[in-house]
Amino acid sequence: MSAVAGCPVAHGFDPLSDEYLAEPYSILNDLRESGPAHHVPSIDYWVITRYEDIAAILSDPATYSATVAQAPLSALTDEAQDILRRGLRNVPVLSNLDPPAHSRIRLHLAPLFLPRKVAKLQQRIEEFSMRLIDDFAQLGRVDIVPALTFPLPALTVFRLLGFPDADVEQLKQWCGDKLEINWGRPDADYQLRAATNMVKFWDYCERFVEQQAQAPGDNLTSQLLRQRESDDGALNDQEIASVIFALSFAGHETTTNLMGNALRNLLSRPGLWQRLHADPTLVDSAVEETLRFDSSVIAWRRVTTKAVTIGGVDIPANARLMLAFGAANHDPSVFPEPEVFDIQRENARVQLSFGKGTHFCLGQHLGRVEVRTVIGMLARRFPDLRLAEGQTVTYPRNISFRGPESLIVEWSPEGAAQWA
Amino acid sequence: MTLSIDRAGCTSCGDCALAAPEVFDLDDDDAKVILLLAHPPESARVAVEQAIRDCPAGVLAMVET
Repeated sequence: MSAVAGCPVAHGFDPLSDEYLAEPYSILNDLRESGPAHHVPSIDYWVITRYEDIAAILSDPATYSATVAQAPLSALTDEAQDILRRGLRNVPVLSNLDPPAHSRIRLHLAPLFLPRKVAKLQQRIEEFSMRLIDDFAQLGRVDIVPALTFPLPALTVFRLLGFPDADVEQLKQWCGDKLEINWGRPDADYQLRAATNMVKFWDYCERFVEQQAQAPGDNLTSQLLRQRESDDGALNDQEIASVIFALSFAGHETTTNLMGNALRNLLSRPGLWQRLHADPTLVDSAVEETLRFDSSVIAWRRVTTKAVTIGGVDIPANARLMLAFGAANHDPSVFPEPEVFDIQRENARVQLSFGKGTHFCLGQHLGRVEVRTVIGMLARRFPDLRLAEGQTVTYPRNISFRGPESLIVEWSPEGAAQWA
Repeated sequence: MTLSIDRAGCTSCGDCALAAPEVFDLDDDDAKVILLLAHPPESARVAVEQAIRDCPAGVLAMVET
């Protein structure tokens, strides 16, 4: 693992290995301590490890292009590439588009995600949560991922975009396929199936925009279409379909994972859950510390547009970078005692999990509201919630999105409070 | 106290409006920062300083203390 001086190559590091997926932080900490940048032959990326460097990279889109952010991580078979080339007609609009083109799209979307707009969704999020929680409250034991943390963010963002609730299951499955193709290392058979499904997902988005143009609804897609009435720079059909293709993915996977990470961290340390139950005002900072300590986006990607030097390490032009948010969020030069999960940490909010700069996460307010709502409601309702003993928690095999695939929790139903 | 903002660099995170809601807001049309008070009263100083510290894009400044 350790890098030889003058030859910063992390030969043994594979961000898709079982070892890393199960316990990434000791590995990331070792990488950060041995240097600011290492070439990683297993994925042909440079991993960047320090807070200061990653913050500077995110703030310099001219030198560090975002075009690679959604690119397939691993080489695809000719067959899979062919399916995607013929069927995927989406254009870069958000996370993988550089300024100035990005600025135009972003300007049309940012007003729809203002904190006061998101606050209006709070009631709907609470209603969804209550309904899902009521369904299992008397069981005493449940896998919280399929029961709550998986459906809630999907229902929320799909309702926001305008997709019918009935399509949630199908859409979620397609999103999983997109994740494998762009951030994982799927085998040839899976690539074929996933590429086919990504095309179906795209077709769905394209058709949905056509429908909304015919019969507008009370949703974000129709709002984007309506912007054209008064704005020459508004998005065209292909851009709108590309935006909803992007948001329908970005808007729930990350939130589901953050809820899971929050619950796992809060329930695995004695006394923390009881503190939250006793003092609900701690929920906000507990969520913020989860973003820092155990982010649902552990790494993000950039590509150099010219030769650069990062922390004294020379990196050529066109080098692909894996920005290890997980390493930056545990950087002791910014976060004292970084391995302590401190739900009242003073500067947790400067974590880099939502990125920074031009591409700063559009949905950060929405994500926060959803996770705070769910954690707050669970802490209120189930004071003795705990992790079931003996379970092995697994994580999806990809380089960016991290959260438990399943998390079994238990409680005493007779002790469960009512909503009041 | 006199404040200035660089709207072009604003990334619409809203942290300023959270820290000092009487002084900063985000515009409804382009979601970028707007100054509600260019010369806020002394009583807002702590909140304004917090907002300047919080801004991840570094676009808020106190040009006169």
